[in-house]
Amino acid sequence: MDNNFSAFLLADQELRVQSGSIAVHIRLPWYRALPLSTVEVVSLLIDGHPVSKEQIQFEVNGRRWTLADCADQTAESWYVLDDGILHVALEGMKPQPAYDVDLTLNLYPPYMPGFAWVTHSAKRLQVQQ
Amino acid sequence: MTVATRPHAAESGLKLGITLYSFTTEFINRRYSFEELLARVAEQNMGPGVEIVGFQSIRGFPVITDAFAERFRELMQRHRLTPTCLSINSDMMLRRGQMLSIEEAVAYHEPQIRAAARLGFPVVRSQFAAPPEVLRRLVPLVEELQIRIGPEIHAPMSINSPPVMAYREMYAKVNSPCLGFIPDCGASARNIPPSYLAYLKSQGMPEEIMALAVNIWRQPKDAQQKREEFTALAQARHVDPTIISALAVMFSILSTQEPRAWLEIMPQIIHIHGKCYDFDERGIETAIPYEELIPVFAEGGFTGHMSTEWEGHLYSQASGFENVRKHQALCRRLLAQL
Repeated sequence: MDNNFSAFLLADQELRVQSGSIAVHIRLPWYRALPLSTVEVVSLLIDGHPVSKEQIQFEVNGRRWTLADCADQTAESWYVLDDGILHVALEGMKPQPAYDVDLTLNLYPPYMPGFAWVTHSAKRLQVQQ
Repeated sequence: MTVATRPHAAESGLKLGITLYSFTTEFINRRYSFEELLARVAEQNMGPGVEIVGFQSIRGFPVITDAFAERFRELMQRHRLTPTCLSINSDMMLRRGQMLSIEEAVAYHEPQIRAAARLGFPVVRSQFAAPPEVLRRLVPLVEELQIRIGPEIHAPMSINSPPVMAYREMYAKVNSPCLGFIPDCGASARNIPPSYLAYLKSQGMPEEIMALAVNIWRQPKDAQQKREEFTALAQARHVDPTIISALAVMFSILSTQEPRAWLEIMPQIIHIHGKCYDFDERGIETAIPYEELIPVFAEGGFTGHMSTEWEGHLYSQASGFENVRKHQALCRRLLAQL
């Protein structure tokens, strides 16, 4: 089921292809900045195929982390007005004019121990020329 | 537009204002900047009180740059607004599955409290995620800065919930005028907002699961217990996790404490969150009984600010401005009737 942030999570209608990866811009589906350590990419499907976590890097504040490393970034904050960028290695994917992107992102607001905010969004995104 | 005359009772006792949290949709969709929101609030006579969530409104919070501090004071003055409360966060679980130690938590709160003092906020909202010992250790700091601080009593809690009782016991021992509580009116709800149920239905929420959640919500049990009971029952029925998450929110935003219960802690109330969701054609809040709550706060002699906190943005794209206006019209009417 969608929540009120589903349309917002994959805010752009487009994605970018650069140096062997696609870059999907996403927004933080919450009302306040959160530390990266509380953000979890649960699943990402491109054209219906699950992407392994090792193929994804997350960029915010001009820096990139592997998803495994994000869990340690308690002091790195994702501000509510900023895009985050999922860089997905293109290995084994054919270049196409558009991709179906299906993302589930969990937030664990650190003042609500035990609570998970699950946001799912699926969109067809055009490759930006 | 002429400025509506405020009733005398509002001047002397409960004063109105907003939290910019009400305009979350407008802000995060980049339709209004922080400064534009303040200008609009002033223009629409929604002040004088201004509350902000530090981690929402201020990039890099709790670091406050000289430029931001100066600009903020300038804006308050220009728009004739008054900083009332800085909502800070007690982020005890910065690392998933692991709580901060007391020392770490004290260190995490301190710069946030200093930020409030720097910006001229007399009150700081903290959260129950932090145990009472964290605030106890911050008493010398808040006394030095002349800041009043307290956790928000928010659904699913009531004044007698164990975490609230632990704070009340600590307060009785420490006896500092700087320690208090901030009630969220959503803890005294009579209903789930019909607009929320309509939204869930429109999203394809199975009606039987929704009915299960509402029935559990209505039971006279501890709210925490009710949320857990719902989650367990839903999981046993293999309900999709996004559905459980969407409904579990219901137990975190609204609970059913009798409005008069606030009288018991009234001298410790330092600020109020005027939570609201939607209004009927007569301007009555459909879920939260302000016609009972406002007289209770007046009877208790509350002096301070109530921030109108429209939270419909959790499930709706409606205008924060329109709903804030409705809430304040209702409160002004009720204050005038006192």
